Amino acid sequence: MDNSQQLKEAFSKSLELDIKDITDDLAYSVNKQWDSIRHMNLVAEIEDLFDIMMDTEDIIDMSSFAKTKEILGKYDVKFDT
Amino acid sequence: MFWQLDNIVESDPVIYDDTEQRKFTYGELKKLGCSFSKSVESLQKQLAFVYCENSFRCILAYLSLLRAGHAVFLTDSEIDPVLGKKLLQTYRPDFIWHPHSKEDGFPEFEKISLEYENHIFYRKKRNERSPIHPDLAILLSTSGTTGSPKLVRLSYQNIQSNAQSIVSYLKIAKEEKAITTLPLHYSFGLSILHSYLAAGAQIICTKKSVVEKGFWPLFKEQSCTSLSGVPYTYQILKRLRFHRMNLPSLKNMTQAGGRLDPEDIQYFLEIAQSKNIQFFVMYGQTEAAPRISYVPDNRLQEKIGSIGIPVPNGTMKLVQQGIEIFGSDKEGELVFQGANVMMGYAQEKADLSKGDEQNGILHTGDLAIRDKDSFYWITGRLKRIIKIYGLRINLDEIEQMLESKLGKPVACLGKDDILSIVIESNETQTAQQALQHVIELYHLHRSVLYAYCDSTLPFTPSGKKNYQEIQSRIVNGLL
Repeated sequence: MDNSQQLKEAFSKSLELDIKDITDDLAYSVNKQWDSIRHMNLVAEIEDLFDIMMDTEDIIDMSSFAKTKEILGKYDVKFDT
Repeated sequence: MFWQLDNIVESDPVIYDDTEQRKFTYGELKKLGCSFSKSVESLQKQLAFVYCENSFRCILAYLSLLRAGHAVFLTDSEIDPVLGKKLLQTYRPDFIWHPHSKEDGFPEFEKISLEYENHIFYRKKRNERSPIHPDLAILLSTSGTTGSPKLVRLSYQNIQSNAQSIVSYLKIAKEEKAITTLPLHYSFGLSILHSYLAAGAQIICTKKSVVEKGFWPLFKEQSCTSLSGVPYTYQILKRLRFHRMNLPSLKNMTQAGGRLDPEDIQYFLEIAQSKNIQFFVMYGQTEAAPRISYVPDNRLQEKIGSIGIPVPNGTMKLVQQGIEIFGSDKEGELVFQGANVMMGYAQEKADLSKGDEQNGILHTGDLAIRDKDSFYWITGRLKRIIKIYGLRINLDEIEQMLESKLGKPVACLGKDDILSIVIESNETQTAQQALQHVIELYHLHRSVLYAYCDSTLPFTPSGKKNYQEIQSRIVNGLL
């Protein structure tokens, strides 16, 4: 499974959303499911998944699915699309 | 009374609203408040629902209604629709304030426009003559999710007295600025507003959460001096590597709303000590408006895990079968006495006419011990009861039943119509057996039950099952 798919699954699991709802424009607080509690679950999930420790600024900056992929690039997690 | 804004300096700032990007002075709040109050004045005391958001206009609406002498129920603007409807039907308010204009939301109400930024109240077209007790100031829900219309009745004296106690032990000076990290309809969030107003200090209103972009820049820009949170807020702050954040204006931090792990308290205490921040661990219940006790910040190091000492103007004692227990390290039910103890509960509208039923005494339902320094420590709940489909379920009873049937240690936890069972076992079929027993004996639906196996159940240093740890294992998907 590629990183993009793995990240989608992490989002789906942490935010309790259907995998088909995980699109690039999925954004924090726009989708009511993505609240502060689930946000931190998501951070934990992503950190475990890619074995990284994210910076505070990045955790706060992770405001959409697209933005998350961009931020993860800094931690050498690559996405094809 | 703090909501009258009598002893204020008109030119002092009171609120900075992040959404409106505007600063308001005490003078402006008072002037607008007086004009709003006139629009909602009536001969008879009436009931208002305020659907809260963290904003100047919401605080303005709330204070205006208090000043007009009405009783105010503060609730969530994003309340579950089913529960929201039930509350409206049960309490039938005469006034409604809602942050979002609702065209068809409240059909039996007419709009009253006010002279500020398209501000409106909804007033019932035909009001009913249902008496409300003259002492009743506010109504709060103890839990927003249980679907129960049960509310806590708090008097003017309750909120005033608790606000003063908080100002006195936190030593809130008028230069201080608190940022809204909690909702106003939650008793802890509301007590921050009350105490800061009582101190003539400032509130920075924001709808952003601590994990949202913009929160920390705002915190710095406005030089906030205080940060408050529930255990979950602190767990988030820790994950955000709070020790690396540079917040020079921060002078004090308060934590309440549940037990914070000793390890987390230690983490924040160390940061507080190194950065010269005061860190207060506190305990309360909505029924006490809400503050009951606190750990003086200079004693926290030696009292990690304690709920501290009673707030000024309050006393605490331990009671076992109706008899007060003296001496240290003996367990009993924690009983609080003070002017901030609620008038009582309300289950229906007629209850709003009731007077004080508590006489300043609150049986907290928590078990505690008192140490030799007269600090209190919570040891458990008197009864661990949850409600599933309105049925009262005693968790300890189910636990004992399963332990005897399965011959293994079992922990039962409950939350919001869900019963979780954790069995100390490595065989997954034990979980199935446990479910069968509970379904047979209690006729509960399979969908509200969750059963897990854990190779070793965690225990607290005092040898009790560590429900908090078990809960976090469940939440984190470790079982």
